Amino acid sequence: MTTLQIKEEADIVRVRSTARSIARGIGFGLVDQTRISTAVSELARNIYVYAREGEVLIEELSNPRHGIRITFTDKGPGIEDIELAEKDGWSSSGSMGKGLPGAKRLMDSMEILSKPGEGTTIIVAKWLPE
Amino acid sequence: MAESKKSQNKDINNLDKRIEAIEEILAAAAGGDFSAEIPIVMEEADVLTSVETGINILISDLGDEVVQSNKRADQLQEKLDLIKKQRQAIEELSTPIIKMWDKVLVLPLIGTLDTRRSQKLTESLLTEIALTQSKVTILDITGVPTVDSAVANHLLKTVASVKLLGAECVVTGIRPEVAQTIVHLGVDLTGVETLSNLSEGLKWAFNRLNMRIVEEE
Ligand SMILES: Nc1ncnc2c1ncn2[C@@H]1O[C@H](COP(=O)(O)OP(=O)(O)OP(=O)(O)O)[C@@H](O)[C@H]1O
Ligand SMILES: [Mg+2]
Repeated sequence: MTTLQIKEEADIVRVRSTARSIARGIGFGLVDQTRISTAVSELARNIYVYAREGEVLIEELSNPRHGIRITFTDKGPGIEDIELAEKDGWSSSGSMGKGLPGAKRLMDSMEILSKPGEGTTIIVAKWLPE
Repeated sequence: MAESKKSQNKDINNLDKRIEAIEEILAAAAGGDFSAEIPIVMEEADVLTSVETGINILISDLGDEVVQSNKRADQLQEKLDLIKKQRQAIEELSTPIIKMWDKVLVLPLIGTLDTRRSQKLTESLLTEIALTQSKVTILDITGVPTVDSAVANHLLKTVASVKLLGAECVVTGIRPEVAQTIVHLGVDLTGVETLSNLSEGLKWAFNRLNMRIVEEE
């Protein structure tokens, strides 16, 4: 279990390289490592852009299956309409709107918990192919 | 012995004045001045003298400690400045723009591209294109391990700016795992010319310039 803080842009790189090396340690192949690292990059960047700061928890899962779970938590503005935010191409900042839907496709599961004004928690997971 | 101490306890010389001196010294120390000392007359030592001596030692040690700590803070700042300078140097070193051929530039991207670095890169690239009158630019991303939407967006913007200068751009070196990831991410790079590697890129560049590489018989 590894906890990392996001406070500045450089932390995005730190978080995703840590996730990549943990994924490698768990046994994920190069393609999955790259997928995980890219998804982490998107979600960490969202924290940096929308909430300024937050925390990332990386866990190795072994029961019932081997895999990785990464939890992103921030106390930022929260997401008003989660369904909309998950849509391809929707962005509140004039960006590409690829982060959330992209991360969802790159991982095996993604769960968003958010309350406007209170913050956002996003949990993603990927299982090791059997 | 006990009796003589007891008698000393009774009469402390100049008590008011000495308390005042202690207060002054403590106030000075609180204000950052550790140079003053409580005057001590050893011949007339009484029970307060040991307290005064103790305070003097404490303040003098504190002064030394503050000097040391300031020195350490300065050294730390120096190191931080050095790291910053080195970081800048590394950034510059890691983003060389190579004039590969007349009118052909190659920009091998290595490592991570944060917002600051990508902006700087695009700027220097555009300047260099104008300066060298280059017509073809090859952006090689073999050395970029993670292409997230921010990096992809940066590539799209750079390609668009290069086009505005009347030059062409090709992206080479997208690794297979990165290619798969970009597709999953849903970023559309169809407007961007891409080729597997740098040498393909060079061939493409020569082709655009109506040049050919011929093998000598
Ligand atoms: N941690 C967060 N806190 C608050 N709002 C968020 C957070 N993450 C995402 N959002 C909201 O969800 C929207 C969609 O996010 P997503 O990452 O998909 O796109 P984007 O960040 O706008 O663009 P891109 O990631 O392609 O640059 C954002 O525009 C933002 O409004
Ligand atoms: Mg985003």
